[in-house]
Amino acid sequence: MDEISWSAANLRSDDAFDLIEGAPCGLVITDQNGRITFCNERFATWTGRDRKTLSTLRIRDLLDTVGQIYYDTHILPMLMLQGYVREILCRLQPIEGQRMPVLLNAGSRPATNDRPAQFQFTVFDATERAMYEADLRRARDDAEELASIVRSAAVAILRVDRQGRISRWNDAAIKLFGLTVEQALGADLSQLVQLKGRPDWIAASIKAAEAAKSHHRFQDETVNEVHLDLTISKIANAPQNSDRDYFSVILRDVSERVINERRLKVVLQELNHRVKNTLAVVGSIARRTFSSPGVADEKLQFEARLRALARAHDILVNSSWDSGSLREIVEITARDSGYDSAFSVAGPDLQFPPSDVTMLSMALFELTTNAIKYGALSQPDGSVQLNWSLSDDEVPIFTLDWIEQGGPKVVPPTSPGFGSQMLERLVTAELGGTAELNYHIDGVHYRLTAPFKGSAQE
Amino acid sequence: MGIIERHNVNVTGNGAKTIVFAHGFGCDQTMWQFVAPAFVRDYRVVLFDLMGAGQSDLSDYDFDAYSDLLRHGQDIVDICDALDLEAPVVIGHSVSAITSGLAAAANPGRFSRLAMVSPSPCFMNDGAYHGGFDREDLHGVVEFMQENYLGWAQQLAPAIAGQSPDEPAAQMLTQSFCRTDPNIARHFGQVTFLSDRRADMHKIDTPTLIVQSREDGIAPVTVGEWMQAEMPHATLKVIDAIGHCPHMTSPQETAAVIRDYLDG
Repeated sequence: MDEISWSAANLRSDDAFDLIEGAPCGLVITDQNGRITFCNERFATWTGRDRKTLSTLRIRDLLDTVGQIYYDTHILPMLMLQGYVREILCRLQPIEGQRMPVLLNAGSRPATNDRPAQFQFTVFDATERAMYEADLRRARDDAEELASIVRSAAVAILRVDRQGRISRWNDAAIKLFGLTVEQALGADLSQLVQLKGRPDWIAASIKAAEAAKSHHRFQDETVNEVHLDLTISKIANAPQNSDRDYFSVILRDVSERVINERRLKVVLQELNHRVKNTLAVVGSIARRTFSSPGVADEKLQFEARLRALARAHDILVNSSWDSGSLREIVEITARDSGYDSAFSVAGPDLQFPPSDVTMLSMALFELTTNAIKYGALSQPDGSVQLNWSLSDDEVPIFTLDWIEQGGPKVVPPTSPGFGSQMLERLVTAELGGTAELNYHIDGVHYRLTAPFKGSAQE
Repeated sequence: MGIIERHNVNVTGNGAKTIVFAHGFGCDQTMWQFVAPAFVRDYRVVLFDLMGAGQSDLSDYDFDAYSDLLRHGQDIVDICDALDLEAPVVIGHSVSAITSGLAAAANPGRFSRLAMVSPSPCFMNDGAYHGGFDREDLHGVVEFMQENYLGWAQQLAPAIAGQSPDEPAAQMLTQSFCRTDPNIARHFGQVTFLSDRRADMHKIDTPTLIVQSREDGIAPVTVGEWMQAEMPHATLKVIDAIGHCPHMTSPQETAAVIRDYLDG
């Protein structure tokens, strides 16, 4: 068998030519000062210069500014000291156009008898690698930022497996459980957090989170009477090379809030008691004051108004004095009148602020009382149509219509009583709108319009 | 660990007088390997690695303290104290030329002479002063250190296994001279290139030789001229060398001009 002689010295010169000029990389030879003594056509193209121009330049001149500094402080010293550099990412700076990322490799060739010392560079196009690395750096920066948010978060954040064993945690978790770092790893979360009457809360929550395909959030109390707000979700991007599922658990100690809410509820109930007592006292004073038979009617009227006020009050207490639902006010007013089947009601459920609730309750009470005494509800076929709506304006306008039908012919009162004063003046003053009480012959029509300051419910 | 170990201090040579060589940004004391031997016959020669470079004790790199170049200068003084050197000559390259100057200004008479190879007290252009770079370029260098982080790991891989036959056979290269912890490299790069110590130059009373390459993209001759004008006892010599590392690319000329100065 013939000896194979693949030494480059035996290469046909046209093959050598094709190899060098056609190589998919830049090939450059320089002297020790980096002066270019040869480069292939590909490298010349990348630099945007012809080879004649390149022969007057140093390889460092073809890099961007930071690359030049790096060449002087690292690449050249490494070439001098260790004889080579590998895969340095730099950018070629063409005369015109975008800088081109390249990977620079070089070796130092010592002088021989007939040749001075030289550097030989092999330069690869690194456009794709540069993009990939930029993405990688961005992703890493993002991840580090997120990690630092988790680390410094005020809520406890843990990673557990399906059995509730802890594998990662932040500082707040350590603080919440009063553990050392050594104790935390592998600790059983169901032991650390024992919810009252729910020994299997982890499995149940994981099940709920998986069923919801997002997260499961709930509040509960531990056996140590700590109130927690818990959120459990599956970690979609679980650690690599792991066949296990992992879940994040976010725990927030809400004991203070829960205790405050309880305290507020007690205070509100107490307040309600006292107000009701006061109303009862006012009622009894009225009964004793107006004891003569001549004012019996007024006395009953007064007591009824007082009850209406107490009802409005109840509605507000039930909502923690936050707001009152118009529909609820209407329903209670109609029910207490005993004529609720004669009402036909239409309108969105609106929440009014506390002061409006009292006024609307009183107004509806007056209208109902009048209707029972003199209006539509005094006849078996009489009815009341109660409609309300909101406009589309930026500050919506609330409009309420009370329309009586099927009653006796209406006779306007000769002198305005408390009821009509209340409906026309007091209500409008309180709600900041206008009111019209129209004694139409077929039935009373009351229209109230006012800017709406509450909230509409879905 | 004492300062001698912390800075990987190496002492060679004979002679009554001592020369301390301080290397520049990028690599380590081996940068002096072509120049230092020229002095071992007549001098005691002290080589060391800057804190954060080469074989120095990286755990001792205090990011706050080393934000001031004078801290590196203090290291030179501490090494001289530890070796009990009386009025040594200090030869510093690039950033270490400046730090040795800062140390000399802070400790008058501590060094007999200085030689600054390719020094620049400020790389940034500022009005009439031509440092050579815009702020943006210099910030780019810091970014660049980070980009070559992946490349770094490969410089480290001692290129022994599967190395092509024509790489230098004598692989004393189980280390890489220019590699260090990327965070330190980045920080030192930042301190080196963004510091402006021009205001300190006139305080350097020690007789000083400034050696400058005739063509240096990092520390141009104009900067050497500015320094000579600013410093009370400075002599500027421009040698026929190319690039920022004349002690590596033109070691004979560099050694000769320093020897002439020290002998004169």
